[in-house]
Amino acid sequence: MSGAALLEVAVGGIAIGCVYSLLALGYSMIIRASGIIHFAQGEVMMIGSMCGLSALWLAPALHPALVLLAGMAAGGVLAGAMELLVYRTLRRRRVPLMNIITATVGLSILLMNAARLGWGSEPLRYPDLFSGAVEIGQLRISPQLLWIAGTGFAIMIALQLFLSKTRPGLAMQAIAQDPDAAQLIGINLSRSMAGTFAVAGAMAGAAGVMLGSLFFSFFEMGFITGLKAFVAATLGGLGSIGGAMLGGILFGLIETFGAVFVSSAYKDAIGMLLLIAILLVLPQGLAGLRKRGR
Amino acid sequence: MSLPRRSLLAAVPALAAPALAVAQSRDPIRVGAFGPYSGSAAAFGQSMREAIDIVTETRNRAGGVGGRRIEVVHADDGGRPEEAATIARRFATRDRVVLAFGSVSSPASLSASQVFRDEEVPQIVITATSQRLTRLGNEWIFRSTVPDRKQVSDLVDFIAGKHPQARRFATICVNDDFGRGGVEAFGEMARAKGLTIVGEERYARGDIDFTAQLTRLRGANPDAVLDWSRYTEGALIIRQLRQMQSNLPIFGSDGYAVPAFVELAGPAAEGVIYVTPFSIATAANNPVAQRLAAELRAAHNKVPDGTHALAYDAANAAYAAIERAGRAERRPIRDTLRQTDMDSTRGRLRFDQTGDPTLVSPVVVIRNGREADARA
Repeated sequence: MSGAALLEVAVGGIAIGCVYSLLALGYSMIIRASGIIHFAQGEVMMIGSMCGLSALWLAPALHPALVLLAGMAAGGVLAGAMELLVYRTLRRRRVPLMNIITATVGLSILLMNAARLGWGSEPLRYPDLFSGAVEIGQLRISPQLLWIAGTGFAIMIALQLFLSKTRPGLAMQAIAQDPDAAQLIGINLSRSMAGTFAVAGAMAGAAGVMLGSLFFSFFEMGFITGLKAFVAATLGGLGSIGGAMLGGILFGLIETFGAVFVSSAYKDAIGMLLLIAILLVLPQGLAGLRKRGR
Repeated sequence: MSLPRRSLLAAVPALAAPALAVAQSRDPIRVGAFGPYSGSAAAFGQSMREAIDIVTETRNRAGGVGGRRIEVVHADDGGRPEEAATIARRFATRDRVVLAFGSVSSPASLSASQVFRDEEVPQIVITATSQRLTRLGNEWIFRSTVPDRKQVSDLVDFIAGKHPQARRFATICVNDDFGRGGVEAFGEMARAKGLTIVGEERYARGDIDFTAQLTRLRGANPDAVLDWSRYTEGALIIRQLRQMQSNLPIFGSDGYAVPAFVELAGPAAEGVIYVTPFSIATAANNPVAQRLAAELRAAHNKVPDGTHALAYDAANAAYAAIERAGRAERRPIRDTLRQTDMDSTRGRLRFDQTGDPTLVSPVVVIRNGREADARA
């Protein structure tokens, strides 16, 4: 295989990896703050994708950045509302964590069916946000993929800055580390927790618009993608922000290259086998490579 | 049972009063229709149901068959083989149908056919293309659509005749009976015509990212791509291939032959060529197809899709056979059905000794977002 073809595959792998990373970030942020494995994350992504598409239907000439914002807003509001209306109530009633996690599965099925009602059960096509190709020497790359990779990285950097430099971001970090101490120094737990879910939802919404524009929007699209992103988060080390980013991109690359060099028909199986192999060597995931992985 | 029948009759009083007076005097002739009226293939089931109902209503308005009304018992198999078998048993024993239409998918049609064979009920399969269905020595099965191997051979003939420059083919298919069956048949028949297969790729049903497969296919340096997919995956494959800036000609399966395919693939669908059991684009001069189009427009304001045409032909053939048989009994109906020779939406329809139609499949190309006759 030529070098140019390899690079094209790599760009494709990184782009899909960015989608996994954004979703995996959501999983990790939520698990760190609340202990909940948020299985509805994939469906939040799907709703973000659908809302981005609906925004495009309303305004066909909408700039891709605004479509992305529409998806992020929808995902953020939805996930924030789920925390405020469902998970917080369950926690206050002292429902065991495992049961709350089961509730997230229930919500994911509910969202899937709601989307089926609202947007129908047929896959929906995103209009092409970009056309033509970017040519670099022999290399011809779809601008779609470059946009996804570029935007994905930009959002992840923005998230890092938000978490390390702003007050609400630091508050979220604080409740993730020690909720009691955080409350003692005057952080509003309820608000910060809802904020964490909203940020995680916005990440998922962005992933939804990206995935939709690359493929299409479909009421079932969140299931397998959400699962893979969860695997990516595990690969990175559940609860680790950097690990989730790295895990997503690595999983995207493994999956794509595995399909090219091993077998394309059993691509999903290859990804999962590698996950098990990596966890055998690094039980804490990639975050375990660093001494202070949490 | 008697209540819904009476209410059905009550719903159409003014339409054909004299004919109905005769029809009412005797019990209706009952036929069964089963397909996926719910679930992921519901669109096919819906089309099948609409076409059968249109033919039945027209028949009944004109006096039915031999003065007796036809009553269609519909049942939803949801695309599930076990459900189809249960329905077949019920049709044969409780509903006592003289003939059954169905189903859409090959597994559901196959499992029902085993029951119909035991119970000796004539069955007309609508859209299921699996070759096996009619190759098991079952004398009670007929099929409206052209089976997969015949479709493949029609496509290969078309390629050899119209696209002689395409010599080296790379294939991609969904990793199930439908996909593998199509690609294997294609390989066999294409090699017989002197074409070569330079690459073969598969993917799991429901996959959305085909970067890896398409990269490998392009690496094999083919003249053209053959894709044996259903329309959702097919649309993605085409879009992703075009996003890779590849202009390779694409030949596809009858899985593309639904309006949603062009909808999903968008501009990438332009120039794609596929084989289909029926296309309104190649039926401009066919009076039966035009009649179907007019009736469907009047009843549902729709343009006929492939399933409409296949079900329409099946129902017309069935009712004509019941009429020729002269009595509403299963065995005579089966025998007259075998002697079918009539004008259909796809030309002259006859069944061979296995029960398959002796028709040549249309091949279409997408131009300006619509099907056009590729042989023209």
